Amino acid sequence: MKNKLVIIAGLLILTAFTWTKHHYWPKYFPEPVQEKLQTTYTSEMRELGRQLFYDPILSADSSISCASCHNPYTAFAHTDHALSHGIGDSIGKRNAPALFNLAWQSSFMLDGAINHIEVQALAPITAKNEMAETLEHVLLKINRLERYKPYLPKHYPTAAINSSLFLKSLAAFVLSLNSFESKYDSVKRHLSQFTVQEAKGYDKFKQYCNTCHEEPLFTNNSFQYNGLPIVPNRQDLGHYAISLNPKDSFAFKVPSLRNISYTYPYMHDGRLHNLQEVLKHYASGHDRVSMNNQMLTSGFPLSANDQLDVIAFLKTLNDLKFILNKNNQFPLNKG
Amino acid sequence: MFQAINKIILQGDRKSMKAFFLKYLWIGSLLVLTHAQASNITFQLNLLPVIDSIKIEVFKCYISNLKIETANGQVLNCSPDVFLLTLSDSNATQTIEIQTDADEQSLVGCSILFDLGLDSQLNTSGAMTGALDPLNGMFWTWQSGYIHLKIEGHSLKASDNQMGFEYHLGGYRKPYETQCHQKIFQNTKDMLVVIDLNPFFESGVWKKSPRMMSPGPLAKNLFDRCCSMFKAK
Repeated sequence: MKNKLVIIAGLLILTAFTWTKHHYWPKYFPEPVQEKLQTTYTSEMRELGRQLFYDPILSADSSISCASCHNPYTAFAHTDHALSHGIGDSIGKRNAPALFNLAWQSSFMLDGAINHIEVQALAPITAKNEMAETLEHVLLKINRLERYKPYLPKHYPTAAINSSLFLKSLAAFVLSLNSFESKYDSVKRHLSQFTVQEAKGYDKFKQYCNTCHEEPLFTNNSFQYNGLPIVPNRQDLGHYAISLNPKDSFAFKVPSLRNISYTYPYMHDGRLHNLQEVLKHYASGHDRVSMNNQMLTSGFPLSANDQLDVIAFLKTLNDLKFILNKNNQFPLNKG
Repeated sequence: MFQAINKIILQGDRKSMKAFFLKYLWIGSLLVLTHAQASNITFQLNLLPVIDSIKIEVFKCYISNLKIETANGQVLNCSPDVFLLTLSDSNATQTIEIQTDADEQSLVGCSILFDLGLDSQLNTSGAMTGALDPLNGMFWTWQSGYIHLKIEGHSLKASDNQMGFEYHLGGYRKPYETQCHQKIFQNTKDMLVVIDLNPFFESGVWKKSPRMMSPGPLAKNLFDRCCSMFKAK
């Protein structure tokens, strides 16, 4: 008996030494803030979430799915309109943000209104100018459908998809959208090299842009007012509406610059159409003085050539493997 | 939902091993040591006298961190400890059943302790079920967080008729968090808590600010008035 115990204890110690945790993220990435949450999700939940994400039944008239404004071929951003639109041609007040690397975010939406990824979907589903539905009715509709039966996990205690499974499954899917296979990433892994122009642009980027668009995620997840002229009749106060702190007036979440070529138009309301306009905006400065960053007020000293170099660098952040990843696209195998 | 299980706990050294027979209740993910004492707390909406001119269509609120403090000062946990009260003119009482580690004797002369509202942790924990299910209509969708207290209704007086009132009071971010501690002394095993809306409506606030649906200084101000609503019979 004693010998057996010694052997078992020995094996346990050996296992502890040899077992190293496998991370799904690159070594140069920080640990995802949502990692603990992600471990509570199953692959079945992720697949259910994927089915729901592409299903227009989530909207009141079955015309809009999550993918309508978060298209997988554009890094889950909305590219055809400056302001994203919902059912019945209603129009919102922002350009839907791209969805990837959300596991490194602790608040969601451009104004940070959502405090947990599992409750994010409630906002677009119930917004009158997006899906205009109720959670109760969506659950009623999907539980009537045969195509959702195979997605019910066997161990799940309820015979129907309840609100918790529904919301957690959507969270499991969107948290699984990881993008770190760009040229920038292959350079970080010493598998590739920047061109001369890209390297010059990278230097300028680190000098002026990296404070907010901090690598390797290319965002520091803070809320900033970047000097865009205020559109008075839109009444979008940004993060102030959530924090009620005047310094957050017109401040929006700093977006990641990964996949930037796919996610046009730019800025929270899509008012800038291309990267040239974006660089020009940051190089010109503007009148407002109540900004957190003095450099934004005076404008970054980037010549026309510097701006082109920065754009060349930004294009190394495009992740075509992510865009083409069939595992993130509409599920053809079921439904 | 309740599944009673028995466990034997062994304690002491090998020579003088003692066995204790204890009863456990397994409730959700909480393992609560209990003598299986069930108590009832009834909440009753007081609709008189100012309220006779006001119709309350919806009164919903969260109470959390429910505990019992016995006459000798011992604080006992209750399970479950979060409830959603749903009352109205037509349904003015609600009884909740709690399980607590107290015998009947120690419940005489006890106090009920609870928070009106939910703490920031419950407000930021994602999709939950039961009392905290977003299906209960107490979760804001445009910005995350629970409505801690909801009062909706209208006046029966002709002059006030057009002015219905709608209070969705909540918020968990400092300094506008809406949560307050309540301690209500009771004398019996089955307890009665009266929710007196009169002070809130007597102030005439519903005529000045008939609608409040987002967190902030005004919501906190209105919520704080509600903290004095809960009283012993």
